[in-house]
Amino acid sequence: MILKPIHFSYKKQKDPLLKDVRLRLEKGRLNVLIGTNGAGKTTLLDILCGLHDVKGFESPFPKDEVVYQLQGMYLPPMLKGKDLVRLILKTDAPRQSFSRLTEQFNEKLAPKERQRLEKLWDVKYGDMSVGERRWLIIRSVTQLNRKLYVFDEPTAGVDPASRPYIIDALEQLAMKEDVYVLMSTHILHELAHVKSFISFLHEGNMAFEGDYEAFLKEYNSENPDIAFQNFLELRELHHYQS
Amino acid sequence: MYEKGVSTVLRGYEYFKIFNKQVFYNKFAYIWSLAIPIVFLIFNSLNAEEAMTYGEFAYSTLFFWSYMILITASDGIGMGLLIMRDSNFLKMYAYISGSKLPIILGKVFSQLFFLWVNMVVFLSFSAIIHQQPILSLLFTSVLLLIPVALPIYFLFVIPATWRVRAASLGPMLTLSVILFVNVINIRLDTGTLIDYAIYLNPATVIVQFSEAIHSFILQMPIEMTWIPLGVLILYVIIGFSGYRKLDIISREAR
Repeated sequence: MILKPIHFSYKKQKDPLLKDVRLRLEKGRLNVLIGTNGAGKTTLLDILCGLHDVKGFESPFPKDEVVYQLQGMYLPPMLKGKDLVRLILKTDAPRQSFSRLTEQFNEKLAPKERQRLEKLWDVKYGDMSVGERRWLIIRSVTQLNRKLYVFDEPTAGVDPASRPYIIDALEQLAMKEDVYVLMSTHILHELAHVKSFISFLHEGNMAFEGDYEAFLKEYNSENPDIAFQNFLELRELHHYQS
Repeated sequence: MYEKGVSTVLRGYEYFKIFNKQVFYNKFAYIWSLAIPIVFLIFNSLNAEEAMTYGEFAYSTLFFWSYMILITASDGIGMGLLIMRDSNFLKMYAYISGSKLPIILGKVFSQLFFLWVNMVVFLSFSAIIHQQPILSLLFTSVLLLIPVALPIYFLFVIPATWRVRAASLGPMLTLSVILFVNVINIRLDTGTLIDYAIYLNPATVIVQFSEAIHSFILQMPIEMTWIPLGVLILYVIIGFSGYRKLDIISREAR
């Protein structure tokens, strides 16, 4: 699916943040939006979720078919793991009993994840690690039935041991029929073993689109961080030349 | 697919439970809404030379309740919504529950419940100090929640629509509440339209309408003009327009 071009600038901003960007979303793959800080990734996600009015663009996903997980969200520290899971699952399906929803949730978890959930069930949110909090929220959000799932830097601040759990959950979600999963990230190594489709947003344009291997090949490195730097250096060189 | 057509009230109930846990756990909330009124009550009773009549006791209780309604509206609704917006809570959960309405409903009713518990505790304390009966005021506390406290809460949705940060707005709201309560007894007597300016003070509106409810319970003649009622209806209308304008995008976090 290729979306209509998005042209957007904030009030009082001289140059547009997004210059007719056409975002491409693939089914069956984890769509990954990358770019430098301030490139407009979160703004693009917001627009896709219908949070900004953009002339000539209407998101193909109605708001009730979208779920949007955000980074660094405050939650009351006294809430326990089960309160958090209940809030997410019950506000989505308020007529179903929580015990039934929990059963369905458990059925979809791998044995290791089930242990994790059991451990966090009665732990206060304030006592959980960043990785545990993020995993619990994201794993609960992946239970919701939507067409578009958007995750804004889901692994930011999460330790390397917890990151695979999150990425695995997102990859599994992307495998579901008829759904699109889009995330933004700065941690490129985590995409090495994932079936992903990368969109590189730079200076208001989509500078690269393709899979992880193609990205490494295009920018001459086996290390994705170096490939990212090479990309920026190449861009700078083009600027000088033009 | 997202479950459509299900009552928003059920979703709001989930938020109500979560916000209850939050507000009753937060000791700081009790300082503003309960501890401060009790401290003032004790000081007043120490300075009093004569015992209060029931009428004075009832007025004093309504006066303190007006402060409690305003401070919970300011701290719980105005600031509470602003913090939820700036912490991205509104943005994320509006998508999970389909709209921001269940979140706002949960917040408002949780604050009403917290307010009522605080009002009853304060009333019991005050009744013990002044040796007065509490039954009619207890009924009043229940009856004023919807026609009085709820419109005030609606009014305080408005500050949450402003493009300011919670840290900047907090002291301003608290000072406004203190100012409103302190000028509650001011009456203008010019015989002109200016006299009605007292109704710009929500604390005056709260006390006058609460007095009318209390008189109704006591089966006494109700001395009330229609103005406080009109102002409360206006607050509801303002609140609804504020709700529509309430942005879910944070000004602080991304």
